[in-house]
Amino acid sequence: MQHSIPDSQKTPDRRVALGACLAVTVGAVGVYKAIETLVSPALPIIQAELGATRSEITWVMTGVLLTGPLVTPLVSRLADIYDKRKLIMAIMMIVAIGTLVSSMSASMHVLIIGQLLQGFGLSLVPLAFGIMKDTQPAGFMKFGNSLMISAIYGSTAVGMLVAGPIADNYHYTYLFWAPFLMLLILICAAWKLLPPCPPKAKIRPSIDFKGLVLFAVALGSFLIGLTYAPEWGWGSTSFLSVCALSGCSLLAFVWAELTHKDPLVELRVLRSLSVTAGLILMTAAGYSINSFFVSVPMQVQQSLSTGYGLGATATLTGLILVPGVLIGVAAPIVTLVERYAGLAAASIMGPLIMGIGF
Amino acid sequence: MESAGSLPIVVASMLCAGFGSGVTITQAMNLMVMGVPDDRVGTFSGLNFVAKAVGATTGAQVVGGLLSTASGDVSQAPEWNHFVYVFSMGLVICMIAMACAFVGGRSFSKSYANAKVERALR
Repeated sequence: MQHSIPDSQKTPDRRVALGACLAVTVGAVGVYKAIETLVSPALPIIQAELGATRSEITWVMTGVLLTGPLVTPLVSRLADIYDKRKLIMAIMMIVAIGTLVSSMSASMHVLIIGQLLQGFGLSLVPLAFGIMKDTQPAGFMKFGNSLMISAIYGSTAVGMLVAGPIADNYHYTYLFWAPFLMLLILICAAWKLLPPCPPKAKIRPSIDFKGLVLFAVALGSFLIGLTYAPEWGWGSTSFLSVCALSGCSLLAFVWAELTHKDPLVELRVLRSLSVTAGLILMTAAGYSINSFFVSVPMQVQQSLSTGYGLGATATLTGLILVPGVLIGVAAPIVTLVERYAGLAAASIMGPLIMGIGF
Repeated sequence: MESAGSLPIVVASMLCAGFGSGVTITQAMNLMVMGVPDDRVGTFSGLNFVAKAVGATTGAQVVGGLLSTASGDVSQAPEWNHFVYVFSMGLVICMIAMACAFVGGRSFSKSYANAKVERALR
């Protein structure tokens, strides 16, 4: 463990310094998690404001989520080479620029660019955990972890609750001003309060840019195909070509990762069935929760005359979506089920309950 | 499968979605932690969140695509049928995940039991 805050510092001062580090890292992750779901209750309002189609409007959410999986492995690798304090400040700056771009957007394209930049924020999660590990003493780590998890789920709920009234009463661009200002404060706080967190070993692992590009092409082309499929037709040559491009890029990515010395993603571990099952469960959880976050606002905000709409405002939509972030209360129940019914039963319980939700 | 226009049912389905995804994420992390060497847990926990983000982007885009089908007019509300497609698709994904989780959970339990027996025999 590398304590960047000197042990010689007087105890009260040291506690304040440790608390400040924790506040900055937890705050950075909390703001990003709020950004991730902020637009969900306002999707139909933004769609009407910008005259977007339903598949285009989902890019407002997809944009934030798309850059995350591409950038996070790269940033995690950069954290092995460079100072994590500088990296967290740089990422927060990119996210702040993203919120500024979104707050000044007057067209779908500009808004999506802003959202794509905000997606860099996902890499704040491993960076924050890394900084916590470098700066906090062992006794503080458990407290730090639980605080981080509370911040992740708490801020997601707060983001949804706050977004509704803002979208109902003001222009949607106001949604992005609060996170922008909070990020500016956090950048200044990180600059002033975080100690340097240099890499532990003087290693310079190579960065797998080929893998990164192939993964971006595979995921990006698939998502673009899904966006334009309603226009092109689900069986059209254009849609099938884009899917073929995505499939080929994915195969090339797998080959590149298996042959690279320092792969972006260590795919060999997928030989373990439990790891593969874990990844599939995680993908299914992401899929399910986001299909609810996109479809429920589109349903409940339709007028009563449609026969299925509830004529809900964005504020009410935010309240309806909040139970979707009950994720935090599940952990103790899983432990109990696993103890009494076994690992397989505990593993199928989650998808079963999500399936009932659908 | 959600029925049309009922607030309690929408809220109940959101509760199931939230609680179900919470259980799923926790168990996914458990399976991952059990399956990788201790010194690599950090790296692979990150991979888990990447998988979640890939699922999330696909979920959002699939829903957008399905709700747009056959309704070119932006101002026109999607038909209820399209929501049914969305929910059916989600249900299929959950069933696939259940099957994989069952196989993954069982395989780990078996290998864990075998290791215990081997240790006992030594």
